[in-house]
Amino acid sequence: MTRFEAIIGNTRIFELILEDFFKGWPGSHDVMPAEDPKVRLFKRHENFAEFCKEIRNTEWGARLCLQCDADHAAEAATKGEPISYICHAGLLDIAVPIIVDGKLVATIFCGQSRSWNETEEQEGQRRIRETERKLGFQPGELRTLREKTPQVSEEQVKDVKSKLWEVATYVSTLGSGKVEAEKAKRELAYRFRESEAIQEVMRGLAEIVDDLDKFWRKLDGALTSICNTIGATYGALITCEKPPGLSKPRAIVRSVANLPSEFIGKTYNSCDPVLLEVLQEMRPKTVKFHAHSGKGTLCHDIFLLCGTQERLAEIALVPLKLDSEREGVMIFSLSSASERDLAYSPSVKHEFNSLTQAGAQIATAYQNCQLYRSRRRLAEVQSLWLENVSHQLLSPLNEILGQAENLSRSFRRWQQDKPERIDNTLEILMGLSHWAARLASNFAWVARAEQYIGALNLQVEDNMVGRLIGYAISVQGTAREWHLLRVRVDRDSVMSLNGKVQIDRKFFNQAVLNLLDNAVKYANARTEVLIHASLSGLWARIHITSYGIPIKADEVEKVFEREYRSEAAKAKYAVGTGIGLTIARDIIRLHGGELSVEPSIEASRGWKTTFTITLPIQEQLEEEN
Amino acid sequence: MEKKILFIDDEPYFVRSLIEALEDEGYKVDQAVNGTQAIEELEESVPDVIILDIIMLTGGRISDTHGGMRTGLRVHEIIRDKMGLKVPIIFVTVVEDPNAHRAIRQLERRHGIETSAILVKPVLPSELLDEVKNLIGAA
Repeated sequence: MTRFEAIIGNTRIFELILEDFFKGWPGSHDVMPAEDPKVRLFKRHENFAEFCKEIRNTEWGARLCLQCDADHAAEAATKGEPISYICHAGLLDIAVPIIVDGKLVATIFCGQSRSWNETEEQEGQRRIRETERKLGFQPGELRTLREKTPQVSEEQVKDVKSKLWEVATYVSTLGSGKVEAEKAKRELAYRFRESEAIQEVMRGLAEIVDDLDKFWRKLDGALTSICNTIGATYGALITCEKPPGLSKPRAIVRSVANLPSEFIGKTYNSCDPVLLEVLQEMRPKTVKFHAHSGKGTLCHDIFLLCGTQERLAEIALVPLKLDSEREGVMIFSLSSASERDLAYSPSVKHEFNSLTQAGAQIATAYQNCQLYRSRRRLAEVQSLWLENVSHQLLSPLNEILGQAENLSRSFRRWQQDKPERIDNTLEILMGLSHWAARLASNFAWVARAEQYIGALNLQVEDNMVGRLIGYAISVQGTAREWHLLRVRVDRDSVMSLNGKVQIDRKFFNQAVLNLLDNAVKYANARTEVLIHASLSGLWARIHITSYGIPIKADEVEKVFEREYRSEAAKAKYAVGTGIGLTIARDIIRLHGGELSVEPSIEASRGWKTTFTITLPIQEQLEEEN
Repeated sequence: MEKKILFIDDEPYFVRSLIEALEDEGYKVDQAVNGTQAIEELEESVPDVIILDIIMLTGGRISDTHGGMRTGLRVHEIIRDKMGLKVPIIFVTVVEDPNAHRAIRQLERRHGIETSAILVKPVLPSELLDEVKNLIGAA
C-alpha cells in the first residue's frame, strides 16, 4: 500500500470525487504515488486523448511520457504548488503535489489539452515535430492528431489548478494528522523496544565474569542489540587508556557489533581527536567521519572494514567512564541515515539518553567484573601468603624438633665424648626458638599493624649497650653456625646512647632483631656484623653494618616495601617473607625516628651495607642529664 | 667405602639436625641449595642416595614447570629423564600433595624404580636415618 492510499483510506471515493470534478475537462487525469513513478492509481487510459494513446503505444513514447511526468512531479514538489507545463509531446499538462509533513506522497496529473497561449502553442508544435522524428512517425502524422485535441482557456487552467490544490491541501491535512498519530505510536514502540534492549544488555552483562575477555565477548552481543534498536549499521567499544611511560593515551578496540572480529584488539597509539573530544566533554555527540581520514587511524580502518562506499558517515559517540584509568567510547554508525525513515525516527536527544543509560550499565558491569577479579586475586594472594607464612614458621620449628631429638638420642654419648656438642645444640635451639618467635611476632604485626599505632609504651633506655649485646647474642648462635659470622657491638659508641632515647622495648627488640636477622642471612661467611652508634644534633643513630649481597641505589627504598625481595636476596636465601624490613621501619617511625639504608659499597669482604636507625634525642632528658 | 648422600634443600639452616645425625652415623653428606647446584653436584659424582625437598622456592637456573614452587619435581625429572640416573631418592615435603606424590610415583614407575619414601616434614633425624639405612645400609 502506498502512503497516499494509507492516508486516503478508501481511494474509490477519491476517484469518484476527481471524476466528478473533471467532468467538464477534455483530457484525462490520474494520481501518481511518490513511491513509484511508473504506477498510476486509477489507470484511466480510456480517457486518454487519441494523440496520447498513439504515442504511449510505442515503447519509447511511453517511457518518455513517464519520465516527463516524474520530472514535473518533482518540480511541483520542489515548488510546493501546482504547476502547468508543456509536456515532451507538446500538450499542456498540470501537476498538483500532495505533500504531507514536508514529504511528497503523490501527484495529481491532468491535462492532455492544447494551451490557449500562442507562445506555448508554438513550443508545442515544435516539440511534436521533434517527437515525430524521435519515435519514427511520418512528418505531420502526430500533428494531425494533436490538432484534434481541444484547446483550454487560461481561466479553465487557473480554475483547475486552484481547485485541485484545495483537494491536495485537504489530503495533506488529513495525512499530517495520521502521520502525527503514527509518529507518536512509533515513538512509543521505539522507546519500549529501546528499554527492552537496555534490559537485554543488563541481563547479559549482570552475570559477572572474572575474565575480561569473556566480558568483552558478552559485550559484542549487547552492542549488536543496541545497534538493532537504534538502527545503526555497526557499533564498537573503544577503550582509551594511558599505559605507563606513554604520554598520550592509546585506543584499543574491545568489542564490536556487525564489524569483522579481527578488528577486536586492534590498538591505535594515538586516539583520534574526535574520541578525545567526546571524552573530554563526557557527553554523547554525533560527528561526521571522513573516508579519507589519515591512514592507520580508527576512522580510516572503520571505513575499510565496513567496505562502505560512502565518503562520509555520521557516527554517534557515547563516552563511558570505566574506571579511574580507563575510559571508553561507544561508536555507532548512523551512516544509513538516508535509509532510515527520518520522518518517524525519534529525536537524537532521546537516542542519546538511551545510549547514555546503556553506557552506564556497561560501565557498572565492567566495574563489577574488575571488583570480582581483584577480590579473587586478593584471596589468592592471601592464601599464597598464608602458605608461605606457615612454611616459614614450620621450618625452624621442624629443626627445633630435629635438634631436640638429636640431643635426647645422643645426650649420654656426647656427655662422655663431645660435651661441646651439647652446648652447641642448646645454643642452636635458643637461636631457632628466637627465630620462630620473631617470625610469629612479625606475622602478628602484619595482621594487626594499625592497632599498634599510638600504643607504644615508651621508656628511657639507660642500658642501650646491654640491650644491643643481648640482641647480638641471640643471633650469634645461628650466625656462627651458618656462616662462621661474628656479631660485634661497638661498646664505646653505643654507650653514648644510654639515657638519651626512649624506646618501647618489645617493639624495638622486634625492629632491631629483624635488621640483625637480615644482616646475618645475607652476610658473607667469615665476616663481621657490626653494631655501632653515633650522636649528631638532636638525633641518635644506630648503624648495623654487614658484608654480603648488595643493595643497589634503586633498591634503597624498595627494600622497605612489603614483600619486596631482591633477586640477589632470593638467590642467597630462598625463603623469606619480605616483611621484616617493612615492619622494622614501621616500628622505628612509630618511635618518631627513621630507618634507612645507603647503597652498598664494594669492599674486599663483599658489599658493605649499613642500615641506620635514627631516633630523636629526648631534649628534656638531655637537660636533666 | 664411605657412603655418600646428596641432600638437596633450599633451607640448609633448617636441616642441620638431619645432616648432623647422618654424619654422626658415618655417612658423607654433600649439600645443594637449589636445582642447579644439585645437578652440578650430580654431574661430578653420583651419591648412594639423594634426599630431595619437593618444595623449593628457587631452582637456580631451573625453572619450576610444575607451579607452586615445586622445583623439586623438576629436579627429579632431570635426574631420571635427562641424566638417566637410577640412584634412590628420598623425597621430603612440607605439605601432603597427592598430585605431587602421583607425579613422583609415575615417573619412578616409568623408569622401573620402586618409589622410595616420601617423608612429610617434620622429619625427625631417627626417621630419616631408618629410611637411609633401609635403602643403602649402615655407613
